[in-house]
Amino acid sequence: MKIKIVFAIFIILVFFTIKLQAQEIIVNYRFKFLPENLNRVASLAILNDSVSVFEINEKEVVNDEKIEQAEGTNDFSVKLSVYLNRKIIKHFNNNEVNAYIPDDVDEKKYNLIIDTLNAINWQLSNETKNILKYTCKKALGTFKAFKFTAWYCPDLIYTDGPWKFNGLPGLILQLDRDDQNLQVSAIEIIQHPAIKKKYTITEPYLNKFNWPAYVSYMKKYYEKMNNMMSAVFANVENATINEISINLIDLRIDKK
Amino acid sequence: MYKICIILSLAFLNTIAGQTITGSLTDSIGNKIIAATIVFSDTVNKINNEEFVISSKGYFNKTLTNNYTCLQINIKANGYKSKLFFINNPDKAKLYTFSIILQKQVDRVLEEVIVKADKKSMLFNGDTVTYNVKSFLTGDENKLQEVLKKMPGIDVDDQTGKVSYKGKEVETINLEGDNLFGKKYTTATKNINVNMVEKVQAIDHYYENPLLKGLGNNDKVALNLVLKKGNRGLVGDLSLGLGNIDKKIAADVSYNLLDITKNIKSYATLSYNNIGANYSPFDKINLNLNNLEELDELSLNAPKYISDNIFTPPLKEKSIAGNNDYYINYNGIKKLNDRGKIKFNLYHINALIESAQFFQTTNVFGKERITTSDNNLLNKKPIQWLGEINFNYQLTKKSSLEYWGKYNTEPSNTTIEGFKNNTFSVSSNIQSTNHTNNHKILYTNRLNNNSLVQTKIIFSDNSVGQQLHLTPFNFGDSIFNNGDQNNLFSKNIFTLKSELLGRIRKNKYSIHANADFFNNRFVSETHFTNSINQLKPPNYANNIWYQFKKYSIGSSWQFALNQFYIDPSIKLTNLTQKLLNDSGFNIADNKLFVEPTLTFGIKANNNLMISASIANEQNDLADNYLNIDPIVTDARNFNYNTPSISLQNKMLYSFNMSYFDLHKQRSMMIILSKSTRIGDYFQYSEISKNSSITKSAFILLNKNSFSTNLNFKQYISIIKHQLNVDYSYSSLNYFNFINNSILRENRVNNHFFNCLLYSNFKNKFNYKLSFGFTHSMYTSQQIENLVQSFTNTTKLIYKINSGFYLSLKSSYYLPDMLNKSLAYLFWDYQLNYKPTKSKFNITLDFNNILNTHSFKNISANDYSTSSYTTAIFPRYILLTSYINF
Repeated sequence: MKIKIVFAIFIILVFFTIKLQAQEIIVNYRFKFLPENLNRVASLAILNDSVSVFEINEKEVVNDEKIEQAEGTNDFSVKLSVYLNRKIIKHFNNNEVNAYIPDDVDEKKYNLIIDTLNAINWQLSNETKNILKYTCKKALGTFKAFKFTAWYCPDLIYTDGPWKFNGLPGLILQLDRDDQNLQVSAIEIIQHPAIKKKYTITEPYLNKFNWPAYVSYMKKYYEKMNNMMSAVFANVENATINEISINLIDLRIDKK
Repeated sequence: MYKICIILSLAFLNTIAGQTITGSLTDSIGNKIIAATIVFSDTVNKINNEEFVISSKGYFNKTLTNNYTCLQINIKANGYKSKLFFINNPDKAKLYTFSIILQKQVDRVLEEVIVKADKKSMLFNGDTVTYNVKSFLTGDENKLQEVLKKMPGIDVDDQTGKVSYKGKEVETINLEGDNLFGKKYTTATKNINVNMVEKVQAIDHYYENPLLKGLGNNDKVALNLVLKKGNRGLVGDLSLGLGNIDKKIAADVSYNLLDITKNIKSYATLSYNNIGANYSPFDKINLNLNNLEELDELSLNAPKYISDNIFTPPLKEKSIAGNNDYYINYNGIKKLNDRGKIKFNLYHINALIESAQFFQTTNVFGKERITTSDNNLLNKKPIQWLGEINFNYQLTKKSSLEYWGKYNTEPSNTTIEGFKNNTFSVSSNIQSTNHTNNHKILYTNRLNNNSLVQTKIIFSDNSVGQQLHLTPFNFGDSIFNNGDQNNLFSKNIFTLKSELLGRIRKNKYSIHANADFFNNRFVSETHFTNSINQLKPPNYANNIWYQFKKYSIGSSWQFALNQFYIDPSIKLTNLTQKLLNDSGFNIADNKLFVEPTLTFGIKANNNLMISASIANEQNDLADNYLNIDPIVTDARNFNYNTPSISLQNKMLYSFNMSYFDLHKQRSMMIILSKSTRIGDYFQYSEISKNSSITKSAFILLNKNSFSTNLNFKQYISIIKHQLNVDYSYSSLNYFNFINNSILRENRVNNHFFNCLLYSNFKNKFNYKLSFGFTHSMYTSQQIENLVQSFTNTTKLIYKINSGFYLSLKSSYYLPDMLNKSLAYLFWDYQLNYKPTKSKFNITLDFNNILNTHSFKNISANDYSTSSYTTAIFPRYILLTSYINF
């Protein structure tokens, strides 16, 4: 069964594509979120001193919400698909992160979430290791309730990194959440790329939120989904409905 | 350093007001620098961790927490020269303020710099393991099977090409999710070039039919090939190899074509070679069953009473003297609509196999010793046309119908020019035909979440015709100018099987009912003409029918309790047999018997499984022993039988332990099995200098066998080496009668040991080393015949630069360790040019550089020792260019 909620759609079409000759560096990362067996290639393009674009492109985005019944029981649970497809744009000029993330209902459209930069209080360490032939230094920090270990490269003087991470005296090449569920590591670094790719630094979006507003909005959405599930199975005898836990990847990585 | 600190402290003394450090950052023309990093460290006391601040909109402000003896302030911004300041003994109470101007770096043309990580070689996702092909390449691989064998958990049989994963034989190798090749997947693994494939996925618990999910046997494994991104639409490759072999042209040409669109997937291959390679899924030399389908359909096939297989030593492609092989194969699958698919597989082989052999056998019967010899020059021309169609239709969401149709014809002509016992010449010719026509229909209906019904119907018709012409022919002491043996074996089968598969919680069950109708007929005629001794030629003929009907019902269960499981099964069969010929021989019987099996085991975790089983089977062996009158099988042998419809009672005990930890790239398998067979055909042989006559009769005597297989594999990551160790032991005791002897009790013990070590360095050099040892001991009363052999192969792979690979292979064989002077050494060199990201490769092969012409192999049995000298593939040089388009 497919559950759909109709959102009021007001799409702001602001398209301006800039061809950036000054693409400084492109870093491709292996992005793993182990609880969902997600393993994707992500890329961070630092366009100039003030803007960078972090992208994960999933080729086939299929909405495959399923109601699953445990073998030989009347236990029902809803399995929602998880999407990593997104674009996270950091604006260093105004200290802002614009995250365009897939909408939970119409996964081919985006919501814009605005968050702040430099929110992590990093503790530097003298420990070093080599990543892709670069000497990296270790830093520890806490980001939205999770502890992270970052490995940054002081020789790559970009205070940037994958996802929303930044604020270290060098580019972050590896990032591990302490529970090991989130692992991001650089697999390719292209400095001064010969072929310049066009990047759009704005996308059309459905809704615009700041982070606290988005968290509250999604919690309400899941509450509504759970109520609908209970109603759907109200007539099934001895049915046990497993509550839909928050599945949206952003709320599981950028935990409030 | 101290001096610099003191000078700087003095220079900034006026502006220092406290412990907090602030400042502005601009470039040389006054523009604010958006993002810079300011790192604070101590040049004297290195224990403290660094502190830092990121500037924002051209300003920074940092309150330091550490104590500094000599504070170093390092300011870095992208595109600017970095600046370094020192403050000696900074005063905690002061505020330090800086106005920093950073100089732009001199503009220069920056070249693209790419630093890449090695892609993870394996990814684990539930029941699927994805291997990244590139990670397993060392430079000496061309075809897919050569890289598959390097992947942890995957094995490729060197002789047959069959692939196994975690010790289980792979059912199918899918192409981008579709089962295009069926069980004859070696057409893909032997022909698809490694350059085309990006990933190989190994799937545990594979169900081809999604309706079966959660029910039935889910122990099957399959592989899926994921092609490189560019390989969509019509792509292909052409490999053109030309060279010199024995002053003739050596050729190895293949053309592969892949067409992948949304609704159609096709793969076609066309090849020709005269360098001893076999690119087809069939074995036309030794007639081994090289693919799973041939094994599955063994009971549907008529036996060949006259063997036309060619004995070969264990030297792979060097084992024959010459060949000329054409192989054409087309596989296509078309999606008709959302519910239906149709698949075609066509195979054609036209080959010529040449072999020259010298057999010398010493038979010892008590004090009697008979030595025989045969020089044979063989020339075999097998042809095969095989067409298959498969239609799969999803009738409803819960039911499907599948049809397989197959037509196969295999004419073959073998001529043997020989010289018997170094005294007189013999020539023989075997013409064989083999026609198979079979149809299968399978209906599947999922009744509900927990049960399913399957009904399968099989019609099969197979006939094997053989004509042997011998000039001249010895029959005992009699010599005839010509001998002709004509045989025809036909087999018609109709099978109906219905099965209910179900599940009660975690326990699975199956209840089935079968009806099998077999109709076999064997007809033969033996003619001898122009007796040199003016004797009346004997006249032999067989015309015999063997028909049986088998009705059986059975049930099997799979009970699971946590990690323990127990699988009992039972089958009750009613068998009605009738064996009769046209001269009054007539036996018939009706039997009712039960065949139980019991398996119990423990699945300790995802890696370790231990199981033990006991099974009882009743086997019908009559098919191979139908001729009551003698038939001639070659220039030396006659045989005849007393046919029987008695069944062999076989008890089978086995123990299996398998441990596969793909993360640690470690595996271990232990298989122990013992079988006791009551009842078998026993041979009474009369061996003379010129001919042998063997009579077989069914006797209720015990025949016991025991075997052990141990296999251990480990990747030693510290030294980047893979170690594989195999050991197997088998023993068999059996009975026979030779030259009017009393019943002889014989025993054979075989040991086989093989150790393979190879490196997986990322640098220029890799090597592969293997040692093999075999020991076979035959004992019979006072006779002990022992054969021990040893092999060693060393391969060195050297990466000259990013595109050039050189591999040197040395193979050493000692066929009889008691005779060290009989040793063989082969050298093969290969130079590969594989430019990265290029679609073009060149390979230069030098094979059998020392140009060894023959190979002598030693074997034994309970009454004889034999030496087999065979001509092997001569030296050749081949330049192959490969292009991918």
